[in-house]
Amino acid sequence: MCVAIAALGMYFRSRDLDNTARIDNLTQSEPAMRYNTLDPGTQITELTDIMRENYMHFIKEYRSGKNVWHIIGQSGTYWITSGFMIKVTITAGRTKPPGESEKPIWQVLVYVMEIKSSAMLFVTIALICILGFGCLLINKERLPHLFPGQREDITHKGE
Amino acid sequence: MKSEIMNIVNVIRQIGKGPLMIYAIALVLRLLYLLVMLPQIGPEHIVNQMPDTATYIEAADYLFGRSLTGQYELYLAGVGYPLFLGICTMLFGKVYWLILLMQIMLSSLSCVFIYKIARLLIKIKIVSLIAGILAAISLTSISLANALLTETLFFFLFTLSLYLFFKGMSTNSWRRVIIAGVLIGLAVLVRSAVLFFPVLLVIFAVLFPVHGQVEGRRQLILKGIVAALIMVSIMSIWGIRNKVAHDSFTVSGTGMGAAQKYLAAGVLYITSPQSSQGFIAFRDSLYRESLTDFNSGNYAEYHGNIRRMVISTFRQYPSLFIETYISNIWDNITVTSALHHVQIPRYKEKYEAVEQKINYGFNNPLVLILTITGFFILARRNLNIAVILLMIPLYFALMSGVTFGQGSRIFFPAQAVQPIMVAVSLVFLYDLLLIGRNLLFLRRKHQNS
Repeated sequence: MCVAIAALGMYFRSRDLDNTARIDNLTQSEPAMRYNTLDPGTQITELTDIMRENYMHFIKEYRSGKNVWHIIGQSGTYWITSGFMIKVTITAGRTKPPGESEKPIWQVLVYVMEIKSSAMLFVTIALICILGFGCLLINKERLPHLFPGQREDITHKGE
Repeated sequence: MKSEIMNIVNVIRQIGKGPLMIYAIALVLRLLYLLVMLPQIGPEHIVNQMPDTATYIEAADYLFGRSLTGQYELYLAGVGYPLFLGICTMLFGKVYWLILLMQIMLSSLSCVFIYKIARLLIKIKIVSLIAGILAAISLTSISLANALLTETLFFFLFTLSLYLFFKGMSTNSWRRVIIAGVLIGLAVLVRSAVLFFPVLLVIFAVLFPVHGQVEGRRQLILKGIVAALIMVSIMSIWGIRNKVAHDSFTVSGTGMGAAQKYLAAGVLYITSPQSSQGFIAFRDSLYRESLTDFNSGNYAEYHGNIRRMVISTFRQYPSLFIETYISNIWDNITVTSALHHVQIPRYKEKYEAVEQKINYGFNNPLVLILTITGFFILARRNLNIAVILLMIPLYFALMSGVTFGQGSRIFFPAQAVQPIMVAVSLVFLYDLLLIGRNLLFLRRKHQNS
């Protein structure tokens, strides 16, 4: 049973990661933050560091285009304690400078989306299985408070 | 004087220490909560805690002739709670904390009825005591007792009627079954969530164990049918009144309204291309589309509109509709209490820090897990009683699927029996600990010898 529960946990976790990676932040959500900068490299490095360290428990980071970065994380330290999976998408786009000679201005947009993780469902199923089997398999005599009078030689001192 | 004291002592003896202790714990906790809450929100803001409170007060004012508006609110809320509010304001004026005091007493009594239901059905004193104490310390119950919402009055009527019904079933008493039918009929008028409960009453009668001084199965089923018929008759009176006044045979307009505002709107929101505007804005735009002229007092058209919208959404997206319904149920049965965020805002940061550590967002499955575990254990003691107890949370879970995002109040009625099943699980876990301790003891003894 333990192997089956562990396999179920791994399946749920990988499904959560797939679902989170599949979120299309660019069309499904509005930008949560917007910056104008002359130095997009530094700005994006700082932003990704902040997101990774403060906003989520980091899982992975990848790029899906020249100027599109994605960070995936979870709300808890471990997947099993996480209520949410989080995906942050950062894009950088060049905007036209007011004057010809000026340096180009970059607009950095940050999109954030959370989805509920399956960890709670997994914990519920796992604990119900374990406790349910425990309830059904343990002899009634060993549960003196719930089945009183089934066995008289068991005392609380284990004698 | 001495004889009076002896009389009081005798009464206390008759009630028993267990119920008194549970009542005292429940009362003290709820009063302390009120004392902490009132300075933080101010007595004048009791009515502003939840948007629904304004609906009930307007309905009560209309019902007692104190206002000309409020007939739509009365149609929405049903007559039960506005009647209670109206009687209370007649007695105390608009001093709402006094109404909260009444609710606190009713809520504390409900905990005693939970203890008594457990004593009657499970017959293990320690389980009953734990069940009563769990009901007394339930944060949902405490916070709802301190809010002008239908739940506390409904819960009191519901737990009392369940106790009387089961007591009537386990003895030769017809009187208790009839009173139970009347009380649960009144409970429907307070909160229409138990609209389909007559069916369950008959099923309970079919399942209830026949033993001791109880008459045969046929007599029990007859009792169940009588209680169900009384319940249906009482709620029909208000249904007929609504038919005459508004051409709509319904106990309250909220049920179908919730199915439209939350379930159907939720499905349409997922499929809508404008989903980035946010659910609330999307839902409200749908709601405005279905509005009719309320001042005319004819709600049949409005009721028909929302019913058609729910049915057409189901026909259009059947699998998504069912998926959303099940997802709503999952959310409602695991959601934790959040009303204290509004009622005791000063300590919000402190308890939010704790909640973030122990919950999955706003949800926690612990009570659900212990409830199901309790069912397994009870099934080994008496399968019929276990099924009867499980059917109550199951019924409210199925009813809760039409709505979401309203905190733990939607699934709160299930707490009429959930503490009993959780108490059974806790005693089981205690016994498991004893088994572990015994094994360790024997191992050490073996090693020493």
